[in-house]
Amino acid sequence: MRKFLAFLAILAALALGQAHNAAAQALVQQSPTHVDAGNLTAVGTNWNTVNTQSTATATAPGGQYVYVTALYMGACQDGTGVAAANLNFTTTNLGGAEFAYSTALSANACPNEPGLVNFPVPLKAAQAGTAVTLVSPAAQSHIGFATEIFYYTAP
Amino acid sequence: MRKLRFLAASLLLAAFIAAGLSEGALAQALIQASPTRLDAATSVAVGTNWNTVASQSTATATPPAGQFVYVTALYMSACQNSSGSATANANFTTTGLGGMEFAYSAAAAEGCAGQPGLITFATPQKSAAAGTAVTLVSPASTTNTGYGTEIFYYTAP
Repeated sequence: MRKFLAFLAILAALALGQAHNAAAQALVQQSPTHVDAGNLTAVGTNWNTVNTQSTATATAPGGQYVYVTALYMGACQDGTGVAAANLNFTTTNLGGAEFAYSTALSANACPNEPGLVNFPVPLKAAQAGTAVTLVSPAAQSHIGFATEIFYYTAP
Repeated sequence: MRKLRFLAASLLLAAFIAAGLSEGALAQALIQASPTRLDAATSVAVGTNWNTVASQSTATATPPAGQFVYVTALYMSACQNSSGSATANANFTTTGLGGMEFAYSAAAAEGCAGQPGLITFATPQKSAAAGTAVTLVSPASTTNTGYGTEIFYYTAP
């Protein structure tokens, strides 16, 4: 009889423990890890500074590729402004991808900048272990260029 | 009494094992790395006469024999120089993609107004025939407009 009562006590303790665990799991449930989220940002040099060129560099560890999820290309003019005809934002290690840019003189404005371009399906770098760069047009007297690469790295 | 001790020891051991497994699973989730993405865009076809006024641009994505082109994005630019040229109801056209095309009109003005820009496909667009190239073709040459065409893609069966 004593053995039977002891067994029942152990069962009850286990049942309470399980119930407590189940409740704890429900209460602490989190959103899942998104393993192909763009978790890195390479911010370009000379960010939005007139009369300079901007270059963003996304580096990858050895053996891994850069997966680009988005690019940002800004081109904002100061109070004087300047026109620019048929210039390009270029890249390296992305199959030669580039983006065009022209603008009329538009003081204190950013017309025609490519802005943010998203890749719902990521763009994979050509070479593993090699950086991807995004380079603005050459320095323009009254335009501040900005470049940014949003990415993650993986095999 | 010995049976009861044996039962208690067994239950204690099972509890330790269960706790260990639970903690191990949590640790794995926290250190998980990004995997290889097999359907990432691995190639870019950059068009001819890129952003050069008075010329037409054509991008060509060529798959190996027996494989299709899966298009993840298209880029179409049309930037005018300081002289500018108005364009009315012109089109960027494609081949090998079911006749897909994109419209373009612009007033004469230095800038890139009216260009389609980057068009992305959350689900890739598969070419019509295996082993056949996909092309993206700008409107015909326009005096003061530089066209750019680009195909972002990968190839697979």
